[in-house]
Amino acid sequence: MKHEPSVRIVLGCVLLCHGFAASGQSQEPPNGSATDVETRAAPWRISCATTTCHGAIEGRGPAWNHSVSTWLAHDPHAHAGRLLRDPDSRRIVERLAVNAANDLKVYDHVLKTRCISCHTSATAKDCQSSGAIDSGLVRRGVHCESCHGEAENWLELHLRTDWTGPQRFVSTGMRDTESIIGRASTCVRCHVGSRSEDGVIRDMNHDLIAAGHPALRFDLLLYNENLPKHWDVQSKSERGFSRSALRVRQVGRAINLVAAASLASERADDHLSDRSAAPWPEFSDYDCFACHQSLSMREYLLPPRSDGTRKTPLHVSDGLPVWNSWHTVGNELEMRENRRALEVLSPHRSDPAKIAPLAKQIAERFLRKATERMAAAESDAAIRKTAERTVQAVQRDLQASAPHDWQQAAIQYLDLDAAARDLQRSQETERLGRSLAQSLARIERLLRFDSHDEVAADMQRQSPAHFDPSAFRVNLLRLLNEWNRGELRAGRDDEHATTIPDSSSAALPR
Amino acid sequence: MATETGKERSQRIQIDYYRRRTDLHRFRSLCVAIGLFGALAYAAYVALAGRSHASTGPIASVHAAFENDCQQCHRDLTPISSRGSKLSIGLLGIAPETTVEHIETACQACHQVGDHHRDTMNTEWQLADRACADCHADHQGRDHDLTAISLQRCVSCHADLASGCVGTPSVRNSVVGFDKATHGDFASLNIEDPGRIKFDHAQHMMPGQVDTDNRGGFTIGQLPPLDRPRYRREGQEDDDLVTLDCSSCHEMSGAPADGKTLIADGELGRYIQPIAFDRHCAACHSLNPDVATEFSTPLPHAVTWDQVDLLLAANRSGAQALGLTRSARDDSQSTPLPGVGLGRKSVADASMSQEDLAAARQRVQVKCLQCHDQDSITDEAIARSTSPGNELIPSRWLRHGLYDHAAHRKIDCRYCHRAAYPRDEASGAPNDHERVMIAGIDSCIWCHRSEELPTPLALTDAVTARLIDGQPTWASDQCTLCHRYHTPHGRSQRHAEEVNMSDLAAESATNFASPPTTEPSR
Repeated sequence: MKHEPSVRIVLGCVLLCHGFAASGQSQEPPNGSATDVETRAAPWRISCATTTCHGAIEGRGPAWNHSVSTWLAHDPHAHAGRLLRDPDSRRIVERLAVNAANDLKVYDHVLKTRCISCHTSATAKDCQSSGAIDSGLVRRGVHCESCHGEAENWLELHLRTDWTGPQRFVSTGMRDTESIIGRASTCVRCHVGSRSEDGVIRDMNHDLIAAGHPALRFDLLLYNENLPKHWDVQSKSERGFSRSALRVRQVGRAINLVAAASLASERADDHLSDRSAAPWPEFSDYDCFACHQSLSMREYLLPPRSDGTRKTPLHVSDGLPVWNSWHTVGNELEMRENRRALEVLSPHRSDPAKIAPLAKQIAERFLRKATERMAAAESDAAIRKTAERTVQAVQRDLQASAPHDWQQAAIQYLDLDAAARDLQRSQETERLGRSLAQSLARIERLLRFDSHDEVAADMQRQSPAHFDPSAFRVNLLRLLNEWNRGELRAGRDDEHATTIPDSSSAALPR
Repeated sequence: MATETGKERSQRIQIDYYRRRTDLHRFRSLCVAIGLFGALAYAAYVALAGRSHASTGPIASVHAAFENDCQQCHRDLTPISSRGSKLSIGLLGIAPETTVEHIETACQACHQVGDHHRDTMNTEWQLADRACADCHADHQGRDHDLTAISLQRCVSCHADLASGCVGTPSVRNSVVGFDKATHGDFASLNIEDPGRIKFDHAQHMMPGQVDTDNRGGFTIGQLPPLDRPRYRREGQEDDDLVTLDCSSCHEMSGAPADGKTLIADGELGRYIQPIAFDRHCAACHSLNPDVATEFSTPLPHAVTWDQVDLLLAANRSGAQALGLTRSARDDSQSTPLPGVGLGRKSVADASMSQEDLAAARQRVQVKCLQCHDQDSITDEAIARSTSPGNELIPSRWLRHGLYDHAAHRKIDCRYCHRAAYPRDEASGAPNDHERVMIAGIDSCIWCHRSEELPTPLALTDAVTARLIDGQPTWASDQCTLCHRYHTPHGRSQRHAEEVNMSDLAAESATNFASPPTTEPSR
């Protein structure tokens, strides 16, 4: 067998990630045997985790050289598959299928049809095949190819010096994880969901949430920040992420909505073609806390709001759940004050035949919006100005009223968080941004589902039942005012001051 | 017939005949005179020149201790060379077979060498095989090299092996010189590469070990700190690409640290040190454990999988205990998420499940397959490969002949191993790990040729001249430059070659302390 050296390396590295993925193929190997290791590409079959490729000692050499080591040591994706076998997952699976407790086949069937599409790097075949689940899939978790795409067609190419530019991601199977839209689109396949991407169904629907799976509230900016970096954060492509946090957040949220709308459309289509394929209405499309509220009279008998309506402490839509609220709040699709929209989209009235095309249009529209946002050049001054305007807008909203619910409050917090990051990036407003960011840490605690604990003690209780919008409003307004005054006292150049009138005493409810 | 009378006899014989000198007397006197003169002259010669003609000359310095102990070798009057008279006269003490046996025993007392495929020889050749002095004729002077065997001496048998073999020769029947026609190309080059390591020489010779149009070249900074000085070339910084040459991996045996000079040791560099993972590969290809944190220790090479498992588990547990790695249910975040905050930092579970361990082991196995085939990474195969003679990289590729790298140290490696270099510098086919990248006999005969032959024009071109670095362009074509007659004691040579080439090499080297001079002045 003769090959060009580079080809050989690549062939050798067959399946860059397949090779790596091979760890854990099928059954347990006999002691000292590797018979099940080399099943797909003999004789050259190497892992992408070799020392000279991506498996070097952490911290030695460039980031790409130890990216697998970083992933394996720190990235939660590496463990995503193994979670499926632990007690928490067992409880979820057994709620989905009662027999799963005693029948491994049933258990594995649930995993195959509901879980492994996101928790592993499963292919459509893996999800559809019958029988016991491949233990290798579980062990590998979400590995390289899940995010970077199947390497078969780009394995050799990605070694080349001319492997640059967006054309890399066209027709080779390599996913774009470098642009904001590309990375967001990659993440949302699982972190929002999809019923068509890669030929697998990744639908974390209401059944799963009811069984105990946490609801998905993806935010590209925060998730990206929390992800252990197995790439060079100083690279040119990463500058897009570091230039403007507000842009990342806005584009990320737009892509979230694209994915959510696409998923809703796909669910509708699938339901129309086969009612058993997808339940309708799909409640996970709606704001959880619109329905999941306390039924105690103490909390229900609250004084009426200024508009005469009587609402729960969460101030949600009282029977008219907001469609994809996590993604629509603060977007152009804000529906909370639009009763007609809430009625049309409410679960008991929604028509899959209407939702399917409408959701598609929404997806297209927000994809355009994300693309336009990315295309718009922003100077440093413009970024700073946008950040300042964002702070002002949130403050104005708070002055007008408390947030409708936890979701809106969380989005306001996230907007301020992004604005603070952008202000810190500018030398002129760095101190201003830093003080805002530090202050926001107190606000973040108000949003915790169990705000009294340093760390949420029971992650199963993913409910803002104790969230108080009024308290949030008071505290945040006070914080913003103090922050604004404090910065002014610090002698900051008035030219760049974010002049927000101190209205805390006038606006705050007594 | 009449009887001679007394008178007649007295008339025929003079009465004083005994007083007269005849020709016979004169001849006798002459002989006596010559004898006396000769004796005196010889006595004077011996006395003045200090020479003894009791033997044909001083024995070699290596045997000088036996100078005056003739019976060490000479049992009787029989010539100790089998080339001498085959006449056996017991009464006169002339018995060639007894003498040969004696000399063989005497030599073996110190030189415990094997025979030369004696079991395949007829009786006559067996006697010759036992007659050490046939090839190692002493009394040629103190400086005589007993191991310098002329090509003709070997050819005397190898011109027609069939004439002395009891069966069909297993090697070429007729070898009468050293070129492709009279010797044939090296037999070891015509077989599959005996090495079992997947390796691409050309790739490793590229800067950074990547093709020129590829990125991701290995840099000095990617090496373990302790290895950086070894691979760093003059002026190189940590960001510069690792650039290897042959000596990066192929080190002369016992060579000094700088590899440029050789001490006066005839054995030095005769063989290249065997490739050892820890010495030659680990710097770039360290076997990092499953979770390769900053403090991880690379896994040892070629140990049992149970040992690997133990180290993997220890590494994982240690990393978790020190908080260097995330556990499965660790939801902690560096930046708080709305609602869940900083998440929950799970208590590190130091245990490692069998499933995790199996996964970790398989990730290591996949790395092993980068260089090894599947059959080579079982416990049994690993144990086998670490025993002498079963190395996955043979210590010698030319299995019938020896090659002295030290003697050729000034010649550029690519003169013989051009195929191992990046293909843009080589004219041959693409190289890979499946062929022996050693040039054939044609690369030798340009220098190693008969004295009568002129210098080939090919040696004079600029490229070749640069490769041989101004070395003399003639060298002996003696068979013993490459071949050894004796097998290790107690083995046939063929058996030794098949079973343990490295042993053969080592023992041959021991038995023949210094190679013949290869480059006489011209």
